[in-house]
Amino acid sequence: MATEGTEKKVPVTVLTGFLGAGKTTLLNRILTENHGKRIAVIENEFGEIGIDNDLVVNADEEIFEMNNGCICCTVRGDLIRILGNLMRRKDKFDYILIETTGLADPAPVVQTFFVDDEIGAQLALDGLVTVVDAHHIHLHLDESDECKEQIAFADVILLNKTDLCTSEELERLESRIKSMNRFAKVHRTQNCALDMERLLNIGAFDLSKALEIDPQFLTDTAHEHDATVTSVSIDLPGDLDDKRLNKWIGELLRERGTDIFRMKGILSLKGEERQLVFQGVHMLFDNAIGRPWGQTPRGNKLVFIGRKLDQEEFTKGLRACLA
Amino acid sequence: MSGWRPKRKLPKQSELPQQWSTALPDYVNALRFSPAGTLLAAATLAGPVVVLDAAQGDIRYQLDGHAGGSFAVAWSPDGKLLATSGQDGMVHLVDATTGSLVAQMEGGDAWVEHVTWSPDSQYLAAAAGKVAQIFSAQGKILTEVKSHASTISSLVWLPQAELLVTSCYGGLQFLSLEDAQPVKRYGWKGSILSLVVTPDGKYLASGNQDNSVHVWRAHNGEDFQMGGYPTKVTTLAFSANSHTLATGGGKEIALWDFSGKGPAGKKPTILNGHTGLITDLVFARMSGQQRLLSVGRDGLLCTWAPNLSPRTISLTNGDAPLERVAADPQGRLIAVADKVGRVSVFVHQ
Repeated sequence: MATEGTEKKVPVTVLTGFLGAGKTTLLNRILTENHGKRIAVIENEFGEIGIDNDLVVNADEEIFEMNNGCICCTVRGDLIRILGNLMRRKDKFDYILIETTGLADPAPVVQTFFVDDEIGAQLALDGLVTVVDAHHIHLHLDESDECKEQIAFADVILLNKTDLCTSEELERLESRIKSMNRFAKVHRTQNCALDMERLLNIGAFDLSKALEIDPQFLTDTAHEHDATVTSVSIDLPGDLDDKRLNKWIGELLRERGTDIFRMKGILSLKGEERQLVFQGVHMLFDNAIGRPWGQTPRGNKLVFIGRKLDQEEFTKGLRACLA
Repeated sequence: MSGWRPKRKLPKQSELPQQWSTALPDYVNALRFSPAGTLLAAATLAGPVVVLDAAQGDIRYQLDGHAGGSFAVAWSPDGKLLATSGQDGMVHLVDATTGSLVAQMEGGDAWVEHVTWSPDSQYLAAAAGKVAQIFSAQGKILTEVKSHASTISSLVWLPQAELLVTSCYGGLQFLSLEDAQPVKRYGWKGSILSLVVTPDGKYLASGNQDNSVHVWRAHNGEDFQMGGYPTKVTTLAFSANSHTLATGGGKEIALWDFSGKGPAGKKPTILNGHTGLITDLVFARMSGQQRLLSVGRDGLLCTWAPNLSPRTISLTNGDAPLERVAADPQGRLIAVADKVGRVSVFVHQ
């Protein structure tokens, strides 16, 4: 009898960033440094990409809302078609890169991997990498929702073109970006030069890897806060009551799902020896029982990134779930 | 599936005799018997289109097909021509007997994912991205409609009407042979993956990304929806008498009764037999009797009996997940293609 789903999932990295930030430079760097690997690139913008045994497919962004009208069920029809096609080939790819347009909303791209069962079964979303033009970003950061979303959704942010900025400018920018997104690893680069291991195969959506929530992000320092997009982080000792937690998360996502871009957490459930790890995008939610607590002090660490999120409200909500 | 009562009694299993089996260069995007049932065309993702002797499995001719991958093959119903299309944005017309090129047409910049002949073999429709085209059997372009909101996911001809229906995210468009704009639109906010029409032309039904099936009355656009599927619905088919719609999606086949006043308010019959996702299904007249054929990722080919009661069935154990099924119009042979491009033909009994 034939079996399905036994093959290793092919990792997919999504590259976002405004036009001119350096996405094509980064793409070329990835392709050059990973020569010998077979990489498929799905491009939404034409760039000068050097390919040898790689494949480049041009895509037109097609955003499909599902019939129920829920923002969280918005997917990228073009990606479903193209990725489906790539996965059918006998000749498999080692890695897939998706370059979005400068003005793309990353949410439908990410949600495609949660919503479409065939894609979810064969591909593993590895992470979102956002390239920021450190010199020009201030022109967009205040006005553009897309720019904020690209930063808010990212797992890795490259502050590129640092050579064109003063160190104070960079400090201020990095601090502001961290106030918007506390998960993301921020790297300062010139010409997008960065170790590949910080970009690819990072497993940012992999629940089986222990979630890394850097404790320093959980302490509220004097960040320059972005008025609309923020990170909320909670570090709460104690065990949670399963039922109350479910109810709280359920209500939270129903009411605030549109404003919550991403979330991650490690939770301690009463009576459970192991960690409960979870992550989500808008209202889409994924959780798993992780490794045993062992010597680690039990507790709850959560990070939410989104629009108009209130730290106090979230903390109060979680506190009420304590067993 | 709320309200659905699947029959859990599994059908008896037996093996179908295999006639032949051959490995093609890559995944088979489309698999079609010629109208006389003598040839079997396979569009491969590697590019070549392979035309095999249906009875023996020998290659009759092999076409270069389309660089990047071939998507579709369509035999003209009169058996004279074979149309192919693919990622190179081209449509090719070849002589069905010899394989020699008759015409090649530019579909557009995008992948040409679909080609289909009108029932009278006069017109060939092709879809390239958001553009639909209708060609004469000589390859002359008759009309081109560019006003689709998104990539066309299916093309079907309305029987006896000389109207082509296209589906995309946003609904259905009805195209005539002359107009550069659709003559009619049935809007629906959802992502349509596959569209079929009843042989009597009364109903159109689509399988959708949001785990549902949507149905329209062809003449007035009245529509309704069937939900509760565990996965997106990529495959569905109407029976020859227009009375039954079979839908995939998950591991069960749901049969909807379209006789009388239609399926509204009725419960579907559930066919249990597959243990993996159903990937393709087709109604066919096999050995003089109506059969439903289905294949799945479980590697099984199932043939379902005439009254479609889930009791009698033939199964054959495959090695790899099956992706495509086709029936010989003469009612003798069944062809399947698996995930790695192996095509096998069985004799129906």
